[in-house]
Amino acid sequence: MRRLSWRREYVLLGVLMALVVLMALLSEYFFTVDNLLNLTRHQAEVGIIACGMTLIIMTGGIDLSVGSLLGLCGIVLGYSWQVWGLGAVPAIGLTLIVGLAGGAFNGALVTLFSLPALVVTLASMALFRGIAFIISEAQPVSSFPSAFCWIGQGAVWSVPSQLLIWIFLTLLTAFVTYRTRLGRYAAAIGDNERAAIFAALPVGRVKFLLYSASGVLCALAALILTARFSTAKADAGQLFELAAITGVVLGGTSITGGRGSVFGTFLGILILGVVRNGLSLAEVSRVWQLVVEGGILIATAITNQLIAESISRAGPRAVGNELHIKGNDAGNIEIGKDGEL
Amino acid sequence: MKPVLEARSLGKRYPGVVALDDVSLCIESGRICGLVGENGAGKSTLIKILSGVIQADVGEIVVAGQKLDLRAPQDAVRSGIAVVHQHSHLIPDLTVAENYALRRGYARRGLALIDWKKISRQAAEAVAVLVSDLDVTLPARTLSDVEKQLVELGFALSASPRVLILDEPTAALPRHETELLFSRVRELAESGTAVIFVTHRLDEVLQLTQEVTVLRDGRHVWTKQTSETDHDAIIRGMVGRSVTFERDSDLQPGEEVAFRVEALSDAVGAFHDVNLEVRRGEIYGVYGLVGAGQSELCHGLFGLRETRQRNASSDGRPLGDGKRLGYVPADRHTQGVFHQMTVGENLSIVSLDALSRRGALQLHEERARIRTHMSDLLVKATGPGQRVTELSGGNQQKVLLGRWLMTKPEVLLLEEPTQGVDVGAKGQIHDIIRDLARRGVSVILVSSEIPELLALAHRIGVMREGRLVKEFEGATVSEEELLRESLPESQQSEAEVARHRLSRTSMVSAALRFLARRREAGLAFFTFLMVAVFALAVPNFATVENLRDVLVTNTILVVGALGMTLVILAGGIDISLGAILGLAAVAAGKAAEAGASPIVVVLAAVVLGLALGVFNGSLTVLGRVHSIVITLGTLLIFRAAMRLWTGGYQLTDLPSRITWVRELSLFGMPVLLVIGLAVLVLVHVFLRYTTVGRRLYVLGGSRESAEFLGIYPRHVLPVAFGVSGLLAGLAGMLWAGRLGQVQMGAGEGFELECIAAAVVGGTYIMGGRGSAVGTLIGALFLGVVNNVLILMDVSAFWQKAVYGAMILGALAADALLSRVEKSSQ
Repeated sequence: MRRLSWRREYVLLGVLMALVVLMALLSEYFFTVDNLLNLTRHQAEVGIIACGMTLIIMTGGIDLSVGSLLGLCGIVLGYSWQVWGLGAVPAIGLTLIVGLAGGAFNGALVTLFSLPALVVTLASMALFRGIAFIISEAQPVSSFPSAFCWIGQGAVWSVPSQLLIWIFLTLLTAFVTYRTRLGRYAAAIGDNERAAIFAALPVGRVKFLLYSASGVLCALAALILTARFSTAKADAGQLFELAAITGVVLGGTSITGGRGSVFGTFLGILILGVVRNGLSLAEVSRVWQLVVEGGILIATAITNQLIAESISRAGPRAVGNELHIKGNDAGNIEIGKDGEL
Repeated sequence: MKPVLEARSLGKRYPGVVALDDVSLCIESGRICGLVGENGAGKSTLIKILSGVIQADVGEIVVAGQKLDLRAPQDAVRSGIAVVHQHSHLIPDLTVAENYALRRGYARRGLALIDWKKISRQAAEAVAVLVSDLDVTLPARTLSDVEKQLVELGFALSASPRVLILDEPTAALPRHETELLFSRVRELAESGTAVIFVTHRLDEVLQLTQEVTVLRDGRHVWTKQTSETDHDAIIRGMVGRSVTFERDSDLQPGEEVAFRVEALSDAVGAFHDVNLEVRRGEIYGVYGLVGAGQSELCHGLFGLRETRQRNASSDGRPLGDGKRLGYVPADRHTQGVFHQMTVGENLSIVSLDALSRRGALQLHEERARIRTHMSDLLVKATGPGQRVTELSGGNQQKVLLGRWLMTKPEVLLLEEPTQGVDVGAKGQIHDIIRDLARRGVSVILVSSEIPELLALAHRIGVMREGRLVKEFEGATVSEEELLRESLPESQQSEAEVARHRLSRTSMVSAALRFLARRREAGLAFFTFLMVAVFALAVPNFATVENLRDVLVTNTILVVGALGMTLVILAGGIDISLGAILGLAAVAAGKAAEAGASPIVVVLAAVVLGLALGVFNGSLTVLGRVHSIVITLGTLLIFRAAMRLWTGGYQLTDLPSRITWVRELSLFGMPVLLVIGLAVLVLVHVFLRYTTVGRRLYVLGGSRESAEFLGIYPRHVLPVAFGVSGLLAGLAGMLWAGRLGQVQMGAGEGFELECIAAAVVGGTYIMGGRGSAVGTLIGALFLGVVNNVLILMDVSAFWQKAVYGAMILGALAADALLSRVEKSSQ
């Protein structure tokens, strides 16, 4: 399977190159250093969020609240710093804490009440966005100091600063996924949650930790987004959950859990960026870009599922049949119904 | 006499195992035939074939002279074969009466609507054969196990089938009910039904049946008249397997006790008062029939299940005073392997703590350990990187064993370690177990294969009905002794009966049952209370104008929320509902602007909504992906389509062809309200009185049972999504008409309000439970809260947060309520 997922990453790389060539033909401005770097600026926030989303989807969960939590974190940053006058460091600290708390809130509801992540995060998506609007009453906060704005606008040797942060976080996530217990456990839980419980793995702790981490990543993305525009708005980050999920699924992580590919996610988000950037350079309206994104999400989710089914057809099914022989009816261990989603 | 049922040379083979080999069976009308055999003798397979759940590889089935082709359970039912399986297939959220209707067809009255009164009457009659005074309007989940079993039996008996198959029907029954069942079965047989009676209770076989058939290892051993055989002869027929394993008598355990539990019981009575003492290097065998509590005991010992000991209770950790425990569960496929992982990853998954230095996995060390264990255990694989599901069953089992060996366990629990494994691998696994014992590991070996236990175990404990009833020396005990000790007696002890006593007496559980059934009533009462409080506390709230305004304003929400309820009931969700509303609003507006008649305006919106809904539903079915992913995608596409259609400009000053919605009155009521009421009534009738509507509940309630009843997602989901889309389309038309304009943001966030209304109104978010009236009350509840927020001058920004919080509150309340309900049973 690892071989397979590596192969998939090469395919994605090929697709990315092909798209770059295609876009370069569509617009002469596309294949310039400035534009390509600029493109990564726009994708970094979603890319950072998608790091956490990859691991969550690997466990068979989902987090729809990321965009809203980003909006809330941005507002907390802006208000605590500019309106309540907390000062830079406490404001940034508070933002990270709010992100952590938001993620932990999701994690607690998912694990303690064994509620489906899908619905919990759908509701907290409304809750977080609502709180952002209550605090700000839809008033944006702007004019942040330029030292802060460097993380959204600055560059190191003309490499955008947020691209560096994104790459760093991608490498960190890859390390966690492939080289730590947490990553193995996440894959195991998404693969067969029942078996994970029978192997005495810390299922609840892993899920709680991952949703919390996703919250912190939202706060980081909020810092960068706020710095990029030098403005914090309550409606920031709308549809980010969609872009992040699309990137993750495009990158080869199964929406039903199990295997995940961090580098695949990175490439998936880049591909989305190239499509978006190329289409807008070619003066295709933003509306059509939405259509393309929605289509990509549905198409890749379905093809992933069909490929996975055709692979597993030979394996587990055949094994499954043997087990009916003695009709084992024991195992009454309770597992939340959320495993299916 | 002519045989009613004839099975000719049935055979069924699974990879590596022959489950049924050339078995023939012939039963005459009016005869009661006992079918006995050890675990794995092929009884279940035979019954599954006769009931159409699985298909035989070879052989044929003849009923009343006609050859049958049983492809699905319904085929068997149609041919007059009624089966009561050992475990209940009642759909928990539906009433007992409806579960009856699902098996026997819904009684109808005029207009093809379902006649609930008649169904309740029929079901009550069917059930009354065995249970008196059972309320058939209770949801099946509120019944005790005994009641469920009696209800299933009652359904089958009342059908007057040609052939009645009873699979371990008395396993859970108290004595009185057993007697009652037997007398009914005799009556049925006298009227010509042929009965197949499967059981482990030999005295019941001798008491009830006229002939006995014994199976062993998937083969037919003999069939005799019951009067010509006895208890001992039957047991001799059941044992005596062809394969025996050699015993290694040199292997002696140490003196020191490595593992001990005293008077161990679990919370629900799956096992009780188990005393167990295992020495260092000892192999302690546990034998019992399937369901005697040995699995649960393993779970309890390993800390997966709450247990009590004489003077301690578990805290979710393995028992045994901090000794290192390992546990290889019985069901390799669902409880053991991680299918997408490699052999190596499956081996090391529980040893990762030891393989980590400062948080990082030491991959070289891991690989070395994996290779050692693979070669020690003779795992046949191309290497550690091979996918585990590509291995044979025996090799997968070795991987699971190796998984725990890597942790250097002191005590190892093995549950059916050689189930579904070929003979060669079986021998290797036996060698591994002996080798472990030699190295001082204590092994608790749970097996339903007596020869395996005789070959390996130093001592063998027999479990029967949750108790460890007797202990034997492994070297001296015979197969027959073990089997005899494990068979349950038909007379149950007093404690047993008390455990099964019908649980309908407690006040608390009665109150909870009422709450679970009448959630709408509770919510309506709560809403009413809230309205009363607001009427006193908030000025301007309790005016006729304001209250009417609340109703009118929320009509559109009610219509949309009813649509969402349909989808959620069927086990889906439609995030694109708001986008459908927007798109339909544009369609209606454009049609009105173009001068179409009011009817065409309505049709434009409704037909578009229907089409979009069916599109969502079909994609969900075809892609086999959860509907949330699909509708997230179509949400974007529908929104974009709306902008493209309008060019991004909102529609304003819509003509009266559509604004009649806000101006017209019917029967002295605003027309909007009349439409809302009509939709409510229609959806209520659809959900309550049509079989299509009931299918949503069945599918959402349990996909597995739905399949068992021949109800599949591909038939149901497009309908649910379609009707839901249709209602969203109607809501869009109403929206455009009421406002006289369509903004670009029309319907944004509408799906969330709909979900909130449905969930607050008692629709279970995972499907299967909910009602139109509940959703109406939920929507009004939200509407009242919203109205009060506005009256109290709270900013509109609160609305979204309040909706989110209310969904979460309702979910948490649901989770808690069902937990309380479960623990009170």
